[in-house]
Amino acid sequence: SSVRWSSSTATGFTVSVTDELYDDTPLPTKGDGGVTPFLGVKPGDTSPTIDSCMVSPNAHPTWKLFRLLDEDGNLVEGAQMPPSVSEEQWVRMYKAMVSQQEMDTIFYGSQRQGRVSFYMTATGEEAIHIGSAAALAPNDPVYAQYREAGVIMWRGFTKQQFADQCFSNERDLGKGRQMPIHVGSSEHHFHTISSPLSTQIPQAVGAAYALKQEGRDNVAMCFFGEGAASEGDFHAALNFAGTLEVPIVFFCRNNGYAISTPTHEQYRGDGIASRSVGYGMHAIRVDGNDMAAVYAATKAARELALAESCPVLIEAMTYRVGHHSTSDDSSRYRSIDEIKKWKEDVDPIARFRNYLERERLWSQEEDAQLRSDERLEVLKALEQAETAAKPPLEEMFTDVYDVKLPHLEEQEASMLAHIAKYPDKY
Amino acid sequence: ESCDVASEEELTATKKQVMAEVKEAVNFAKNSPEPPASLAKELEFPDAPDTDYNNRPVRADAEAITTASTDADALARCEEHIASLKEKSAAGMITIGDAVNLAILEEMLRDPMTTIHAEDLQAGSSYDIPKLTQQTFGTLRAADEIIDEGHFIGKALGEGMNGYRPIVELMNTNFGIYGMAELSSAGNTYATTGGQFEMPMTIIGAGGTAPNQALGAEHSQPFHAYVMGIPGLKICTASSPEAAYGIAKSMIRDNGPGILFLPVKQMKSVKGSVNEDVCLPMNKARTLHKASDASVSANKAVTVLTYLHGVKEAQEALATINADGNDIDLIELTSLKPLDIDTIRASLERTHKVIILDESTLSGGVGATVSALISEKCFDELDAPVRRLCMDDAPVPYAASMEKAVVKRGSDLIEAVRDAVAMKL
Repeated sequence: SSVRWSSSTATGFTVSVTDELYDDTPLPTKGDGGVTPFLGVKPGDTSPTIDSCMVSPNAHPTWKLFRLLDEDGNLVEGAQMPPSVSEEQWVRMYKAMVSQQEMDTIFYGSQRQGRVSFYMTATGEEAIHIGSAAALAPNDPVYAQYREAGVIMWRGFTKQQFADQCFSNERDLGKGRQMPIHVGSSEHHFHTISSPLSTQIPQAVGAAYALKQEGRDNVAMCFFGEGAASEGDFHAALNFAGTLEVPIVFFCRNNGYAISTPTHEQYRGDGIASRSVGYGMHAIRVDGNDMAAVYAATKAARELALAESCPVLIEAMTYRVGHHSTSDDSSRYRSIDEIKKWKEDVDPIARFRNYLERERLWSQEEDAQLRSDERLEVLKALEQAETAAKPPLEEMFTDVYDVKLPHLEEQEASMLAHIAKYPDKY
Repeated sequence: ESCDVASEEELTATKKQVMAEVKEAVNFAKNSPEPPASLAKELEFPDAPDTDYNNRPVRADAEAITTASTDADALARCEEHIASLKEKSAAGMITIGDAVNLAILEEMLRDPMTTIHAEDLQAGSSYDIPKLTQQTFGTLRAADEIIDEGHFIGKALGEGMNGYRPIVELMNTNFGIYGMAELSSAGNTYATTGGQFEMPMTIIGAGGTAPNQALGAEHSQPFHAYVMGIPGLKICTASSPEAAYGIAKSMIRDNGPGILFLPVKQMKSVKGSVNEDVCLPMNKARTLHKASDASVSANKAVTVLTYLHGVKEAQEALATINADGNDIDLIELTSLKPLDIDTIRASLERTHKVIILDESTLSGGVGATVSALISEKCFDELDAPVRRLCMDDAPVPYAASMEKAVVKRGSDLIEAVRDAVAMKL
C-alpha cells in the first residue's frame, strides 16, 4: 500500500497513514497557511490569549421571545396574524382549547370522585396543544410525553375515546393495558404515551429518519417538558437528529416545574433553546400562552425542517397551572398567589377570547353555550365509558408477540382454568 | 532542531532506554504469578454478607463536622421530627415511608459524609422518605435530582468513590431501569478496582407489583428481578416498617452498593413499630409465622417464601389456610441477594413442601433463582417440586379485571397450599 502522508519527528518516530485508512478526501499538509488538519481550525482563527478564547455562556445572546398577541389579546406592534389561517379556523381553534379545558376539569373531578384512578391535566397549556397541532399536517407522526391531549383531540380523537381509555373499557384502543391519559392512535398518527420520560425523543428521530428515506412531505413532531430535557435520551436524540439531518420538530413545553422541581434547579443554560447550538440546529423561543404565535412558530419550524431536511427546536414558555397529576398537591411547593397570577394574567384561553371578541368573531353568549355543550358531552362520554364492558381477558396475552408462543398459551390456559374454577371472584 | 536541549544522539539513546524499560515491564508481567482463584469471591463485597453494622465506628470528628455544618435551629427541628416519628413507632403507627425517613435522618446525623438525592426531595418526594433532609442538612447534602435516573445513579457512584456515602431514592423502581448501566458499574466497582475503591451507595425505591395496583405495565415491572444478576450488588426487600428501618440503616452503613425495595402500594398504609437504633442483618430472611408442630406432624404444613406485597397477601390468607386445616411457615425474603438458604432449609426440614409467592415474572424472575437454588441445595428435603406463583410474561395490564389474573395473590396462595398438602402437582 502506498503511504499518503507521513511525518518524521525529531525523535525519529514516523507516523504514516496509508491508503487503507483513508477515503479520497485530500489531506492537508503542514505549511499551507498554518492549517492544523484535524482540529477544524481555519486560518486566522487562533489566538494566544486565554481571555479571547474562553467564552462565557453569558456571551451568547439570549433567545428573544416570539409573540403576536399581548396579555390582553391585542396584536403587538409590528405583528401580523398568520395569513393562511381563516377567521373560521381561529374560532375553531379557540373552541378546541375550551373543549380541552372542560374535558380536563371534568376528568380531574372524576378522579377525585374515585371513578377514575388517575389523571393529568394540561391547564394553562391549551394554546400549545392546539396552536402546534393546527400547524402540522394530519399525518405528521406525533410523539408526545403525556401533557399533550389537545394535540390528538385536534386531530379528531373524541371525548368518548379519551373516556374509554381512562376507564380501560373494551373500546379502549390500548386494550386496557395502560394507565389513564396514555392514549395512542395509529389512525391519528399519535404514538401511544409511554410513562418513562423522554424515551419518545430518540424514537421520534427514528421516525424522522424513516420519513427522510421515504422522501415524504412530513415531519416528525416530538413533545417533551423542560424537565424531561434533562434525560440522557434528549441529548442523544438531538445530537442524532442534527448529525443525521432529519426532518423533525422538537417541541419543548417549558412550564416551569417538573413535579416540584423548578427550572432553576433543573438546568443552568439559557432554557432549552440554547442547547440547539450544541446540536447543530435552528431554535425559536415562543410565548406558549399565545396561540397565534405558537401556530406561526410551529408552521415556520415545520417548513424549515421540510425544506432543509433538518431538525428545528421550539421552546414554548408557559406555566403549569394544575398539579403535576392527581397524585400531586402542588401547594406543597409553590404559593397559591403564584398560580393565581398566571391563571388570571396570562391565561391562554382568555387571551385569545379577548382577541376574538375584539374582532367580533366571538361573544360571551357563544362562550357560555360552548362551555355548557362541552361539559355535557364530556359527562355523557364519562357515563358511557364507565358502564361499558372491560376488555376480554384473552387480550392480556395477545400483542406480546406477533403470534402467541406456547409458553404464553399455557399460561393463558392456566389462568382461564383458574377463573372458571372461581367465577364469583372474577 | 530549533532548541539546544538535547542532541540527536541523546534523543535516540533516550528512545532506546524507554523501549528497554517497556520490554522489562512486559516481561515482569508475563512472568508474574496468576492471581489466586479465591480472589474473585473475596472482591465480591467490601463487607462480608454477615457483617453486623451495629458497632460500626464513625469518624472521630463526625459530631464536630455536623455541628459546624448545620444550622442549630434546623437541627433542633430535625430532632423534634425524629422524636415525633419515634412516638408514632412506639404507638405501632409508623408507616414504611416514615420508618425509612427516620433511618435516613439518624444516619445523616451520625455520619456527615452521608448524602441523599431524590426527585422532588425538598417536597418530600412521594412517601416522605427524604423529609426534612434538605431543610436540616442543606441543598448540597440533600438535593432535588435533575431528571435523569440513569445518570444520577452514576453521579452517586462518583460521590461514593470519593469519600461520600450517597443515598439515592427512586420514586418508583421502574424508572431505575434507565440506570442499569450505572448500577452494573456500581456493582463492579469494588472488584474491578482490585478492592481499592469502596463505593458505599444505597438505593431505596418503591417497587414490586401489588395485586390490583392499577398502574399499568410501565409502573409494574419487576426491577428487583432485573438486577438480581448484577455482581457485587446486595439486594434487600422490606414489607414492614421494622424491616425497612433496620435494613436501611445497615445498607447505609455498608461499604458497598445496595438496593432496598419497598412495596409501592403499602408505603403509607402498612403501620408498625421499629426497633430503635438496631441495624438488621442484610443476609437473613425473616420468619414471620411458624406452622404449628401439630400441622407439621400431620404433614399439613407448607413453607411459603414471599416478599414485598406478597407478605401482606400471605398474612391475610392465613386465616383461611388455617380454616382449611393447613398451616404455613411464612418466610419473608428480606435478603434477595445473598439469599438466606439456611433459613429456607431449616423450614423445609419441617414441611418438605415449598411455595414461592413471587411478584416477578415467570421468565427471569426472583422465584426462578430461588427455586433453582432450593432444588440444588435442599433437594433431599423436598417431597414435591418447588411451586412458584408468579406473574405471567405478558405486560401487566392496567384494567383491574385483567390485572387480577396476572399478579398472584392470597387467593392463589390458599389454593396452592391446598394442592401442596394434597400432594397435587
